[in-house]
Amino acid sequence: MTALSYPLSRSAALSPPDALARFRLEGPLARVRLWNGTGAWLVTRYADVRAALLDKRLSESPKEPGYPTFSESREALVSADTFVTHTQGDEHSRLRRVMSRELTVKRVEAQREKVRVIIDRLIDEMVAKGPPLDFVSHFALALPSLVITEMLGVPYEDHEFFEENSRLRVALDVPPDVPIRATEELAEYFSKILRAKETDPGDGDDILTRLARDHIATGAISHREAVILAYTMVQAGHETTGNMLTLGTLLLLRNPEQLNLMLNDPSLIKTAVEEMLRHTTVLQLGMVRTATEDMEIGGQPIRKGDGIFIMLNSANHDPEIYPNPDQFDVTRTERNHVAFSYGIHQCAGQQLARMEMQEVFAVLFKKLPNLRLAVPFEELKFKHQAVVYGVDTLPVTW
Amino acid sequence: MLIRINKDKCIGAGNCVMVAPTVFTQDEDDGRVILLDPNPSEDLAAEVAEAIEICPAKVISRE
Repeated sequence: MTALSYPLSRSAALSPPDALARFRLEGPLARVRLWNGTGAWLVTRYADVRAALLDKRLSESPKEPGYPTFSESREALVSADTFVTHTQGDEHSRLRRVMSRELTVKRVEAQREKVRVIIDRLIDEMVAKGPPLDFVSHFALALPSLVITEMLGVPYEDHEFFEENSRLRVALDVPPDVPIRATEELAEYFSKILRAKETDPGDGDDILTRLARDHIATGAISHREAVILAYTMVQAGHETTGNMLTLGTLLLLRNPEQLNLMLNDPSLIKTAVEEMLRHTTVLQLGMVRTATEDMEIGGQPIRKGDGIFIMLNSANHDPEIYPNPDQFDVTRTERNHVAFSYGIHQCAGQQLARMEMQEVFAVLFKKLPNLRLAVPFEELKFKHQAVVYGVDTLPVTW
Repeated sequence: MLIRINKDKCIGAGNCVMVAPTVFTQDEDDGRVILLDPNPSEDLAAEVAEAIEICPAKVISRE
């Protein structure tokens, strides 16, 4: 049988690509064909996915010969740019700790009340404007955008610039220079602000101030590294949380009995959020690795230089771990999903994402009990050609 | 039960603090794990087991 082309297609917009269920049954690894004619392996079973994400023989570096990519534009970007998730060893620890410091459970909890106020204000503004309107730009993207710009210490007025360039950075169906140019724009923006703060940090209580004062000034990280951390946080704070808020809302609208369960028992909000993360897994294309030696995954031999995609969405729908996995069930109690990946590169901002989602779903349907789609579900355009799954617009009424 | 951590390898994801906040906390300088209670009571066995299970860097163990 000829290998399927990658990215895989979906027949149901709110479920993972159909082929993954078959791949999980057929064997530990599945073969796919990439945009440039080369082949790669998909790791699809939960146990193999977690093991692969811990395996040091699988390199995350795009410099590794054989490193597979999603598209021509992605290949251009990963060759030109530095991703924190591509760093290893001491370099990774150094950068990771600077980010983790800003995103601890304690720091995130300190933002919770502010997030509540922002959510209330955004909903009030939606009500004042009146339906129908686009849920993505008025709410789902606006909230994480307001939160991350305030935490970084940059003006929210620049949000369209961040949102547009964050979107273009992860788009796959664009010319190869587009993600690179979007990254350069973001880099230039943060470089200018950081240079000013390096000269005079001021007394701001924000991430960019601390990057300049506590990390660049002490020589812990370079100016260039601080710039990368800044646009990494702005990007990660936009695309992922924004799309999760949108797709989580859609899941609740499409599963009204689950919405009712959650509304009748607020203790289910936290489990509902974990279930949205598990069921949706917005990082739809998985984690990219290259084998650095001949080895086995799940018992199947692979060769040095083989490209591998570790499929988080497939692991999160493995019936060995999650019975009836395609059912969206807000009463599941497992928190062992890999929506934020696993291993040393697991999402540094996951506690912030969780908190924003918890606060949104605690009030959204209370304040807008008749919230619903303003167009037929079938007309929604899902982002199949993007690293992060979602929709660009979601027309709603109430 | 006795808990051990390997702070050197911790990546500061905060999952242990999320599930067992009386046992674990994070270093304010770099987000890495700090043991608040190295010998928690058996009442906390389920939370500790979950923290061990979901730790992405596998730095928590119990004896």
